[in-house]
Amino acid sequence: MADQPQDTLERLKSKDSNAFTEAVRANQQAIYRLAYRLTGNVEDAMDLTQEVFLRAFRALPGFRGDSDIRTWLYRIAINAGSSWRKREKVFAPLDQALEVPSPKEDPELRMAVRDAVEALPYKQKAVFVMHHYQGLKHEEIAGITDRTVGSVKANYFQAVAKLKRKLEGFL
Amino acid sequence: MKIIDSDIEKIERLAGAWSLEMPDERFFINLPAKVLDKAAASPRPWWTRVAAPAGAVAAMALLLAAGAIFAGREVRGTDRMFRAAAEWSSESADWDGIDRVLSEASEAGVSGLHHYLDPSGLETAVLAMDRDDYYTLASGL
Repeated sequence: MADQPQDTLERLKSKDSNAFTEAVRANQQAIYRLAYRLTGNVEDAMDLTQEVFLRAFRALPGFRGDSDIRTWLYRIAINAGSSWRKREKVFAPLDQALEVPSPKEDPELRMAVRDAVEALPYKQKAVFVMHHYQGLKHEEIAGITDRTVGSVKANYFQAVAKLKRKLEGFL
Repeated sequence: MKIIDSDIEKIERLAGAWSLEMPDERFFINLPAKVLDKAAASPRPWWTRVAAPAGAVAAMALLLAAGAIFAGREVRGTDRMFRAAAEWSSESADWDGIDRVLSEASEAGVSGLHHYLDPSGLETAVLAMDRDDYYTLASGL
């Protein structure tokens, strides 16, 4: 059993709205951050975040608590992000998707990084985002994606190699 | 391309240039209530109410067709596909069920992929039989 107490787990499984609200509050920022990196803009990240929690709510009765709820939510987010990608096909054009960066940022580099991350194959992108931007260990990502640590590491290095090629001009 | 530690450091430093943008704080304040409202308005995805029973039948039909195509394959493998398909098509399909389906499918050596798209094309209930399509399959939830 992961870190959620048994009574919390039971309340979640029975779709208790207070327990669910607590779970959303505890995880919404982490899920939004992941959604932002997967979609590339605030609007879509908000939609995806909402979709993740909606899917989670519907699937609560099947949540056994073998992993902690954040791991479970990450898994749903990665799957929902894949569906989103297939629906949307491509990122929104930069001028629509990007909001005004802070003055200290280099807008050209920011766009280049965003585009390079977006251009990664989805699994590599998901692994890179979870490790680099979410700070998850390779072992945690392996648990979320139901893959071996070796394959997660391989994906990470493949992602870095592709990013190196794309961002060569900034190195 | 050979990747060395200094490359990783450089890329990770560059990747930091893509800063995070947060939404208006009201989004987070309202999110739990919004999700609960949406769930109450539509307790289950439409396809679990409409397509799941039909889906189970359609899944069987698809599998029969697949069975005809792959008639040379072992009967045992087809039986596993049937069981996996029936489970996935049921309303009680959950993450564990999906894992079971994948495992069954993998054991059966099945690589076919069958989709149900709703009329809007937005939601997909999928009967997938390929480990590489794990993410697609899970999107039916």
